[in-house]
Parts: sequence; structure tokens; C-alpha cells
Amino acid sequence: MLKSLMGASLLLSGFYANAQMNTKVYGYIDGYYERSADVPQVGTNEKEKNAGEFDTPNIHALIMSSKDSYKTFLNISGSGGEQLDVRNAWVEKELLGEKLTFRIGKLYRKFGLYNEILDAVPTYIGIEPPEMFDTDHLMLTRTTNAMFHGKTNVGSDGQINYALTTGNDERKFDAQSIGLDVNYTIGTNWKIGASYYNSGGRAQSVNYGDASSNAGQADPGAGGVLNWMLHDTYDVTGVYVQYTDAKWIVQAETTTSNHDATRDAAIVGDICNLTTGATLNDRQRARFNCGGPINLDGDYTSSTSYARVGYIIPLTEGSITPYAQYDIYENPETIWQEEYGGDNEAGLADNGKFDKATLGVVYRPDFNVALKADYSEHIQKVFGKQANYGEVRFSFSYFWSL
Amino acid sequence: MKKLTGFLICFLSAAFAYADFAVIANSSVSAGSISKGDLKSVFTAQMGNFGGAKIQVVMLPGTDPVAASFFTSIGLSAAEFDRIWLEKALSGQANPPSKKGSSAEVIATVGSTPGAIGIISKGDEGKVSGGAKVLSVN
Repeated sequence: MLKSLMGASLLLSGFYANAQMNTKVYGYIDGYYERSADVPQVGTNEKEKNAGEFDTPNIHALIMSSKDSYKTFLNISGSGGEQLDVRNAWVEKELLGEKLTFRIGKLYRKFGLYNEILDAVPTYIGIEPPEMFDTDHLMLTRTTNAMFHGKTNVGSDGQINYALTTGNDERKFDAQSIGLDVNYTIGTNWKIGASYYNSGGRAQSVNYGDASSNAGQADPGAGGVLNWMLHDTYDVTGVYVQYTDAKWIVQAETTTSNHDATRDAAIVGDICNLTTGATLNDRQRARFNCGGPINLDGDYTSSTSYARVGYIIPLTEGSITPYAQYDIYENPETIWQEEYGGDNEAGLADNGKFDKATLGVVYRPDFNVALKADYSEHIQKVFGKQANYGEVRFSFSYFWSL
Repeated sequence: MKKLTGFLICFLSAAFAYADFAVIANSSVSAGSISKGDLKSVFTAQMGNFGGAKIQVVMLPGTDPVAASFFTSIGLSAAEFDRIWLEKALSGQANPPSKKGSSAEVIATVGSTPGAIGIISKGDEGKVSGGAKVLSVN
């Protein structure tokens, strides 16, 4: 990371030295309220009571500067109006015009429809991101450090966009990850693409540690490697399609991740013992072989798919967009307890799989403002019984610029 | 007769729509003309460079009749235009357009901003001077 930032600094210093820049400062403020119904728990018939949760205000400031073949971008987020988080800080230089550009720093990788635009909350239907980007079960790190990308025109209205990424990501020893994304767009209507990521060898979660320091201190969402894996060689493959016009937004994406992983016996042993069976279901305990020598073979496949449809209805002023979403996520390896790096959605279900159906609406009185409301129904089996629960959410966002 | 009247109304409306706006660029843009396809690509952030310059789009408000006429000519609604640029800007893919309240402001901004391309009222073409020039659309 340090090397990347130093490289970016060098490029940036050349950029500022002789440039008459075109600089824009803009961003948005958003807020969020969520309330879940009482949620089932593993190992008990008691349901977890949930109070409503506010997450407001979140402040996002973006600074983009460009001059000739250089461009810089800074994306700063103040979650909860408190701590500042530098989400992106990169500089890029066109090497062959728009056909080939090199970007370095802290950057969102191009991968599927949402990774790059996930901070662009005001622009998309839905309050929550697709399950692939839920921090409880990310399939790979969202940020990386270097990217070659470009686009080339095909025919009168087509364009091929491509990107090759690498970075520190999550890795161990000398593994060097590689990410690819290619899509074909037709005008402003169609986008069809595929993405691929390979850890390039053995990877390890940034939250990996020995049993004594790791248990209870895990931070879910670092990336695609579960905290209790000694090492994990994995890849992620996705395909996606999007159609948009003046009235419709239709999106579908499916992603699969294959893991060739080895568990850390001490950490998994801790998970088995510390939870004394109360928060692992029978399938998970059998998978880890909690009663005997820990099963070190942690190979598994996780997958997720979603479809989203929105229909824009113009009003005298602004627009209203009803939308529907359906998400599916499956991960047989994860556990319920988030504090051990688990996932309280997939880890709750008997088979590690849940579906989520969502209905919602976006009201835009003006293009700067988006007010959203939606309801989701989580659908899964817990202890052999259908145990669905609902969530209701509201959000607002306001785009500003200087 | 009704069909003929309808046809004439449509024809005249279309002709009016195309005649309603003019495209101007900063003098750093080397091209003297722009194709309709490239015009749409530039104004939808699919093309970031044109005429040897990095493009900065300058636009009238979507409610302005000149902007409405321009959007119609490239097959886009004002809401789509806003949505596309909001997404591009918030994800770091493109500089957001500079929105100006009048053709005079667009001319001034385009004239002083390297790489700028903007839309003005056709009737204001004669006011373009200094660092700005009119691009013919073909």
C-alpha cells in the first residue's frame, strides 16, 4: 500500500508541477434507517430483538482533477459524520489515449456492475448493495492498487471496456493477485460483461491471527478469505447484464467463488469450544468436525446472484421509481457469529443459503435528491423450519457540488 | 388531410429541434465539426477525449428548451442525462458537467476552459467569440 501511494505521489507531483487543472469538488450526504423484525438465532428458539438503527449523516466528498493525459481522484467518506475514511486516492495517466490508461493508488477495482459505483448510492435503485458487496460476506476486496484499463469503439454505437488489476489485496507469501473485467456496451442502453479474479496463490485474511488474539476480534468484510483459514487459494468469476433507457433499469449478475483452503486448527478449535455448540448448527459442527480432530480441509464454493428491475415514472417535477430485487447468496463454510468473522445471514441458515426478496421505491423530486424506502424478506431454513424475517429501510441522499 | 397535417407538424418540429441548438467548443479542441454519434458519446461520458483535448461538458439546465431540444436530437431524456453523469462523477469515471443558466454563461465558460464543449441556443451563435468556436454537426 505504501509503495502504491508513493508511486501515486510521484506521478501526482509531476502532474501538479506543470498543470493548469480542471478541478471539480462535489459529493453527497446520505442517511439511513433500518429496522429488522425479530431474527432467529442458531442454537435457541429465542429470537434476537432488534431496535431500529440510524446511520446518519454520512458525508462524502470527492475531488477530481484532470489536465491533458492525467487525472486524479480523491474519495473521502465521513461515516456517521465522525471518522474520515479515504476510500479512493489515485492518479492515472493515459498511455494510448482512452484505449489504455494506467491508474495507481487506492482504487476500486472494475468488477461487475456495482463495485465501482457502490459509493454512488444516489444513482441506483435499492438501498442496500447486492449481496456480493455486503461487508459480512464480500467475495473479494473492493479496493486494489494498480489498474490498466481502457475502452475502444466497435461499430457505430458499441464500445468494449476492459481492465486488468492487481494489488496487495489479501495475500500471503509472494502471491500476486490478478483481476479482469471486460464488458461490451451498446449506446447507453446495454452493458454485457464478465469479471474474473484469482488470488494468484495462497491468500490470508488481514484479520487472520493466532487463536488467542483472533477469536472475538475479527472484523468481517476484509475480503474473500474467511478469518479461520490458514491459507486460501481462490478465484471469483462473474457475468452480468444491464439494460437502461428513459423508463427501465434492469440488471442481473451471478458470481461464483471457488476456494482451495486449509483451516487453522487452533482457531477453528476455539470457535468450536468457545461457542460450545450454541452458535454452530449441526451441519457446521460436522463440517469442522468439532467433536474430534479439526477437519483442516476448508475447500468450498460460494455463490450469489441477483436481479433488479426499476421502472421510472416521470412526475410534473422529478420522478418516482418503483423497484423489485431478488438476491440469492450461498456459503457453506461461514458461521453465524460475526465477531469470529462469520455472517449472521448465511451462517444462520441450515444449509448456508438464503434468499432475499425486496420491494421498494425511489422518489426524486430533483436529480440532486433521492428518497428511498424498501422492504426485504429474508428467506431461509433454520433447524429445519422456514424462518423468514423482514427488514424495512429508509434512506435519503443529497448530491452537492461546488 | 389529418395525416398530412400530423406529418407536417412532426417534420417541422424535428427541423425546429435540430435548428434550436448549436454546439460550441474551446479553441483547444482542434476539430471544426463533430458527428452526431460522437456528440452523443461526448455528452454521455462514453468519449472523454475529442479533437485532441480532454473534454469538459458545459450544459444548460435540463428544463431549458434548448437543452430539451438537444436531448431529443441525441435520443436521451434529461433524467437519463443526469443519471448517467451522476454515476460517472460519483464513481470517478468522469468530471461532472458544468451547468450554466444561460447561453451567454455557456459561451463564457467554454471560452475560458480548455477542452470544454457546450450547447447554446442557435440564435446565440453570433455571440461566440474569444476562446470559443462553433462546431458544425454532421
